[in-house]
Amino acid sequence: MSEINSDPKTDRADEDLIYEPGLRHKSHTAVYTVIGLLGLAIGVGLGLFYTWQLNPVIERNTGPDKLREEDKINYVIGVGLDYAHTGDLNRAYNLLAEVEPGSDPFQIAADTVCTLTRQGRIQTSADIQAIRNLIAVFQGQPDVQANCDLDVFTISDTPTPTPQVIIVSPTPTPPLIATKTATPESPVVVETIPVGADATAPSIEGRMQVAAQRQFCDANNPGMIEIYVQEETSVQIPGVPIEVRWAGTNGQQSQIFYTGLKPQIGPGYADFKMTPGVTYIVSLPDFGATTERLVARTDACDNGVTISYEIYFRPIIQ
Amino acid sequence: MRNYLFTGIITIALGLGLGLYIGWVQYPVEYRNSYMCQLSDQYQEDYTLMVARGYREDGDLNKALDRLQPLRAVGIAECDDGRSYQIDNIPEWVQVLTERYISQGADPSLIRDLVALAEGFGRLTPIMESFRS
Repeated sequence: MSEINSDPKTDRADEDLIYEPGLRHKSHTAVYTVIGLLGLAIGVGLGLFYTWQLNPVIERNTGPDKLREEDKINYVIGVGLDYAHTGDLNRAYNLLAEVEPGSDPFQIAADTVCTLTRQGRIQTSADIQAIRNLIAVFQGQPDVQANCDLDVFTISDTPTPTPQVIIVSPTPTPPLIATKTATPESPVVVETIPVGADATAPSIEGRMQVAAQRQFCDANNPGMIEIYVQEETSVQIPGVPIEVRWAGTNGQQSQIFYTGLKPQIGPGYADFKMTPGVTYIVSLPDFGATTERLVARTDACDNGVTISYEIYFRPIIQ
Repeated sequence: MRNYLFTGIITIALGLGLGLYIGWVQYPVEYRNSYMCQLSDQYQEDYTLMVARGYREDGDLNKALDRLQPLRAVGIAECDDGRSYQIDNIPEWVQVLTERYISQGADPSLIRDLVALAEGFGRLTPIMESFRS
């Protein structure tokens, strides 16, 4: 047995010449992996760009939940119309549920009413009726919160109401003459004045003007514009459209509403709540009457209470 | 080097296919601001019926026409989706829908609502006569 003595220098040189397939394979795998992942990412990116931006799927069967806001409102109004005619609350519920799945359908109706009110889109008697129809849908439903004043659209139990104000006025009585028999009680005349949808056609013709205007302070109900539309004889006129315009954060805004929606105050009465610091102009668009600028000042009354205005519109006497 | 290039092309092609599948099938663009003319036929018919019922309540023909205007597809590129009937003329659409419901034997009360609106638009045809209220 002889022992082989190896030279360390020669051994090191031999090691350098040794072919090591494992190492080269590993580096190749890493490069292929990087190229593969990079290629995949580029491919997916291109594919998504093409399908989402350049050539997206055409929406052929859109449901009400995908509609733009404007058309959602139209659709909800349609549900109210449908309910007014059929009285089918289940159908109304199901139709509304499709507008915003997951939301309370009755709340959708309430929110739509408030949106329409705030946007001043209630301009005709048909609009008022449409609002009443929607209110009838969610009226009486628990947990429905309307974040706006619905009193102006007061409705009765039926979906198509016609509220009436009853004014009881005694007939003129002749001077009393002393007699031995008891005087019979004066007969009364019951006059009914329609208000609301049936009363939106004004009962006057010609142009009107601001007959009187005054400022006042009311700490309990500050910042009100109280409007009275009257005939020459001071008889109040219901159903007259009133437009209030002001400069809002999104440019000029306006709201149209009608006299006679608060019959407890007067058939020719309407009011509007001002925001402190904002300037308003009130007009009767059908009769060419416009007020001067009404500033909701807070420095004119005690304790910073917003000033209120009282305005009387009457016909121009020819 | 050639192998690297080949691998790159293959993986880009695979990625592209995956991207197309994701973008068209799995997670297509979800439209959130669609027009009424993009509603499915069924919803368009439902909406027309609602407006017809509203017309029977308030008798306001102009308002009914206003309410149906958003269904018109003309001039809206998104509405050009290749469906067989594109709404352009509203009175004609009400007539077409009414006659379709009559021929399909739909609920008579529903037909009566549509016939009233069609008649309002001056589109009363002989087939509708027996459904006049």
